[in-house]
Amino acid sequence: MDKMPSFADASDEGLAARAAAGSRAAFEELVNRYTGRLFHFLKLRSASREDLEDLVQETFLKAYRNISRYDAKWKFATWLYTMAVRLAISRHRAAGTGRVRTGAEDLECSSPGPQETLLRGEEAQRQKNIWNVAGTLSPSAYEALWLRYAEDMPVKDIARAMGKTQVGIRALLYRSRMKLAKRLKAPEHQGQFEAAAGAVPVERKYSVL
Amino acid sequence: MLCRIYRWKVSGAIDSGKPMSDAVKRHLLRCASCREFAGFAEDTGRRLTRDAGVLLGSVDPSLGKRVQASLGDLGEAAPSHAGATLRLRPILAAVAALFIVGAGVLWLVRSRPQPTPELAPPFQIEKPGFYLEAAVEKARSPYEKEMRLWKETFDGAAKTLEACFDIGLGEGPD
Repeated sequence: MDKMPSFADASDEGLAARAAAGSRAAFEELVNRYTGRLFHFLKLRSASREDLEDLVQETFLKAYRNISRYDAKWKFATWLYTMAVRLAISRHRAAGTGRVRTGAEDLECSSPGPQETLLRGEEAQRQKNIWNVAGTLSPSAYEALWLRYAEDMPVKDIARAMGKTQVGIRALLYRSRMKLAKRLKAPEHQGQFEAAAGAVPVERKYSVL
Repeated sequence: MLCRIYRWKVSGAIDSGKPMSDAVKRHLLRCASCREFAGFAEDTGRRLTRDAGVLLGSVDPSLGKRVQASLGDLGEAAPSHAGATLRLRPILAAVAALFIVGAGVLWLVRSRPQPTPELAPPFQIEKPGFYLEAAVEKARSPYEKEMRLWKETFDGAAKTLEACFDIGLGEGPD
């Protein structure tokens, strides 16, 4: 009996190399690792949840078809996100779609029942998530923040994935921080801003001595 | 204005992971607003990283299964041809170099300058003063030419009258 290979410790690049050699199991592991990440990354590029799921699926299918062209000198994440951005832009141009609102409406279809209280608790937690505020920025600002903080990508890779210059990405991140600060200062997010701004004793931190 | 520059530098330092310069640190010590921005930017970064993890935990697993099922419809991934391409690279480079050298030689042969044919002179200068006379002739005004013609006509007419009537018209004017 064939034993399923374990890919738990394999790097993304190693899995991509195996997938390029013809291993579908390796690619499925990459799908497991990146489905959620792509889903949240592309959140602002689709008009509905179904559309977003289709976009994620399409990105993976395109990646699978082109896996033989993957160049191992780049991180797999950068390659996949580049593909996702291009696909999202071309779909957006073709269909003229809007953006998904990242708010409570995403959970509106959740079925009420015995777990309602638990769901409300999760919803309250979700509302506190700073990505909800980031979701009110432009899609490119949100995506730059996602790649920078959720993926921990350097500016060089973000620029490659988003098809912009490094200076452009730095400017985008700078503006995103300014806007986030302004929005978190708004009364409805006041608590979050205080939590963010007051956590570190800055006087000591920026001491020149 | 200055604060904007310092905030840009703070943002750049966060993105590059490099430490802030002393000038920026000195400004931060003086400016409460920029200090607030710097603290906010760093802490928001930490929160964004942390909350992204929370967000990823809430993804519907059925989406991944759906994607994997759709991969099954495509069949096996095409094996990579990257190795073959790499092996072919030196050959391709040699062919390209040969083509460039050939094209260069052809260009050199074709563009070699032809010997200049000897041109026959358009006219021979027979008289040394030819140009001078022509220039003088050109310089004469048309009125002068006309007056000279009239004078010749009158002279001819006078000579005819003198011959017919045998009258002495005397000498011409001095």
